[in-house]
Amino acid sequence: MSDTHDLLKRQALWQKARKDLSWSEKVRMAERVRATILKWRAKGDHQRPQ
Amino acid sequence: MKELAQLLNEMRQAGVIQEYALFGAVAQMRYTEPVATLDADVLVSVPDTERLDVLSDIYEFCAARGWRPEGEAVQVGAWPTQFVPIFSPLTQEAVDHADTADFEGVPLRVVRAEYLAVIALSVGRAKDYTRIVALLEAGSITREDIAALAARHGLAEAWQRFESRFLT
Repeated sequence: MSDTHDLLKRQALWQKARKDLSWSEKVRMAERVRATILKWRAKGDHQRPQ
Repeated sequence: MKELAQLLNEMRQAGVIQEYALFGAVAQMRYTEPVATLDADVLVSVPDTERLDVLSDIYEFCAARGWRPEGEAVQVGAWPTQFVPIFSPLTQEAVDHADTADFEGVPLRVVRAEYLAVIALSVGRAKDYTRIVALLEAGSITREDIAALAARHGLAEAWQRFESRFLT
């Protein structure tokens, strides 16, 4: 349990560290996420399986 | 985004708009972790606000440079961009007090964190509330900053409700 707790803590710190990236790097990350979302949408992968 | 920065600066220089400032999720990312978003939002102040087709000069300017409309937005480089005319004293002030950031060597005006938060408070959708929490968590603004600005724009009660619902 304490291992999981430590892992979550490390993950949270790692996620928060992304705040300190440059703005342009963060925008580029958002562009990649956006491209992926649009690909999923085009393929219809966002729909739940019946 | 660099294409958008260049376009906005040219648009202002040509007098199509008087001023602009990026807001919404792309602006938020200047202060917080990156967030998923599908479009870029720009507040614009236009010379003639009485016209019904207030955005037509902007759309023409974009089209002349090869950027075409797509739904309610104009596709500029990778980003569908929504141009939002200033719609309140709060958004006017947000544009007036925007920071000029550097985006890969191009100046790009961006709404400051406290204005992003109070605009989000005034709009009041779930994703706007998330933005306020993200800005607070990032330490880019304090609750006091928001309270003071909200009070000046008649949003003191909305802020109190937000605080008691999400921050206690």
